[in-house]
Amino acid sequence: MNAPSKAPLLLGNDSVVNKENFPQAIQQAIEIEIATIPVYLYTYYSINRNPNQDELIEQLTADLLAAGKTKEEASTLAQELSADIMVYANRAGALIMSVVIEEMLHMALSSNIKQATVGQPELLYKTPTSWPAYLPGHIPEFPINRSKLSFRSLYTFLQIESPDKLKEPGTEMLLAAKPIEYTTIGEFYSQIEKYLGSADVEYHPERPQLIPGKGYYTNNTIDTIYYNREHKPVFTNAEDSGDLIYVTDAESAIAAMQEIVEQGEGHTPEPGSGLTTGLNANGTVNCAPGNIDDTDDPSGDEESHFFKFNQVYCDLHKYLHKFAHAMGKEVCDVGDQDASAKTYFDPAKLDEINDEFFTKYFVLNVPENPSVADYTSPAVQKVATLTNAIYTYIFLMSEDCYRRKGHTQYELFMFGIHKSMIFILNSLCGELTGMSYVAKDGKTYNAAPTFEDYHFATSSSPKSQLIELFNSAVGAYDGIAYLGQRIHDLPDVPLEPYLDKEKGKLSFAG
Amino acid sequence: MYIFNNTHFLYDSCGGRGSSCGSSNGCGSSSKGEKDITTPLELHACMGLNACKGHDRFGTNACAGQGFCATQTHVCHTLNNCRGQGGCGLYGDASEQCRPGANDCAWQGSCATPIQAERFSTQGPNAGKSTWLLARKLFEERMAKANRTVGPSPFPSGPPQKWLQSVAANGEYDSCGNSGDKYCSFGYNSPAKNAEEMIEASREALKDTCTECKKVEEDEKRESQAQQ
Repeated sequence: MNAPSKAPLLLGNDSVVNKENFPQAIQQAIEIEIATIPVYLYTYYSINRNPNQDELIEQLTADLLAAGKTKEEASTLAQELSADIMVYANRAGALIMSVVIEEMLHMALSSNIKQATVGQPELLYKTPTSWPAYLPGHIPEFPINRSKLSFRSLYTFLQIESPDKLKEPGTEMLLAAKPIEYTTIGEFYSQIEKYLGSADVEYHPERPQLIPGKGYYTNNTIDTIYYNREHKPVFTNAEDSGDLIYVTDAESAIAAMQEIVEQGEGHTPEPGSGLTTGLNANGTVNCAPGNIDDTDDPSGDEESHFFKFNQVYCDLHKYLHKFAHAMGKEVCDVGDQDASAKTYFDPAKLDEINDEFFTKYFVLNVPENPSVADYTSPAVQKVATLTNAIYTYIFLMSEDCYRRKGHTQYELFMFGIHKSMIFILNSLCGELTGMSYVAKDGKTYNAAPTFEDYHFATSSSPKSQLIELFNSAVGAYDGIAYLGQRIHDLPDVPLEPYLDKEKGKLSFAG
Repeated sequence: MYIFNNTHFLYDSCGGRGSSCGSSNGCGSSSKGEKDITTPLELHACMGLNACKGHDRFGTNACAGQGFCATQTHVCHTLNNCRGQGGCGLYGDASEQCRPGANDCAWQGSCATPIQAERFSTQGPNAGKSTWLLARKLFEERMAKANRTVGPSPFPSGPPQKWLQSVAANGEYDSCGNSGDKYCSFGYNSPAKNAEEMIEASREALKDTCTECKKVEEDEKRESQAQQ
């Protein structure tokens, strides 16, 4: 997005990756992966994956009675619709989280390539600084917002992961009237891939990387599963969907790059298969059953990011119709250009009615593109600031992993990064979305993690600043008191390696 | 088989924005006057995984493998202090999830203790299968190597979640993650039947699971030696 300080490669004069621009290109690849993380996470935390079903039934029954249903009809329908919500909300969350996990994997894979070729990857302070943001170098540009689950947010996700070239902004609803210049992330990566196979590249496998076999990456956790209607668990990532790759030579570097592209956009279907991999030619979302090649691996077990988002989008549309119909309303497919093929468009117009009939039951009313400064409540502001600091510290620790080897790296990853992501950041995000504030427009919103980089001062260690921020936040909101020990237990990572007091060793003392 | 014989366990609605991780060892304090160990001799992950007499939460078990409840409390992956305390399942890679309750070191081993009967692993050969059964199998192997007699676990498939809730000091038990309650129904299933099916399938597959897990461990060692 607009984070890179240098001109993005594909918006510059270069269209081919070569020896001169490769260091910039591979860093740009890392930053593309980093840029997607706050976008997907923001939407993820807007979803209440586990609403209280009893409360849902009560609310739905009241709504159905108000819509003119009999008591018996309302009771039966409320049970059915509540189950729809329980499955959809959890599934949407699981699918988005399964993509987030793979985006973090992609950040590590591209970092491994950079480390093995031109050296230390830069991960700190690379989060987009203004919103809406834009993918660096993507033609055409399209705005990316941090927003709650909606047709618009999902359509943006589809644009990000699109394997097909996008239409120029403003012409999305029309068949392309004129040829325009555009590209995809996959095309950019294929340029890097070509260069990696050239004789110009020298590989340094002795430099520290995040390698497989150490437990750093796992494609399924409890957060990437959901329960179907019969409450049987469903895993969203296939067991063999990909792993870290130790980059030692051209072959492993190319394999790493291919894994990124295949997981994101999917592999190219066989010519003549008749399968579609992306958006329809007119920019609409393809919800026709059986018309999508949905896998990101040739064995066919794993769905690509694009297809995962496609499913969340199409199910959202399906349930919008179903819920509106149950309430006695029929939703026209606003902007629908080809109803017979079940293609749907104009996400913004769909969103105008979406909340009224469906998402109000499980999507939190979080603001769009908030910054900490927007929060009028001091308690919310302090917890949001702490959340940003932990979020930033995760990137600091990740960057430091590329300076550490062996057990020190393992401890840093497992007891620093892993713990921060799941047991500190996740908890803070959950706490924040449970808080509310009155915005300047006079309306009440749920707070949300803003995922802004927190700029640590150089006068003291980042960890000591984390502890200070925690002390301040817990003073304003004691609901986070249980996180104190976890923060104190984090490793102490300096902002710059030369500030490391004991070179090569980590301190865990608070 | 005695797994879930209390009919009130059959039906519950789901959901609610609770904490993402449990914070209890599932047993709370005894209300019946049994000894509630505050400094147990051995810290372990769950019911039926104690190595010695008197090493369960209440200090009353007669034999190895017969104890009620975990003797230590931790909530999730990397938050345990000692060897053998990782509950496993839910988070962690294939190798880690092949060693529930048998981690080598502090802060290793995934997820909350105790391991409720309904918990399934999320990665590796045990994915989708009972975590407690694998933990018990590994415990029995460890005891066999030590020439120890192991008694039956109070619950043959591990402590049911509802039972853990019934004995918890605050009446709550949950485990890690955002995907929701493992034991529940949206109105179209019996959670007890789901759990029983999962446990029975896991029991049938246990031998193969252990074989596959050994392969995972060997692969990991080989991979680790080949790199750096």
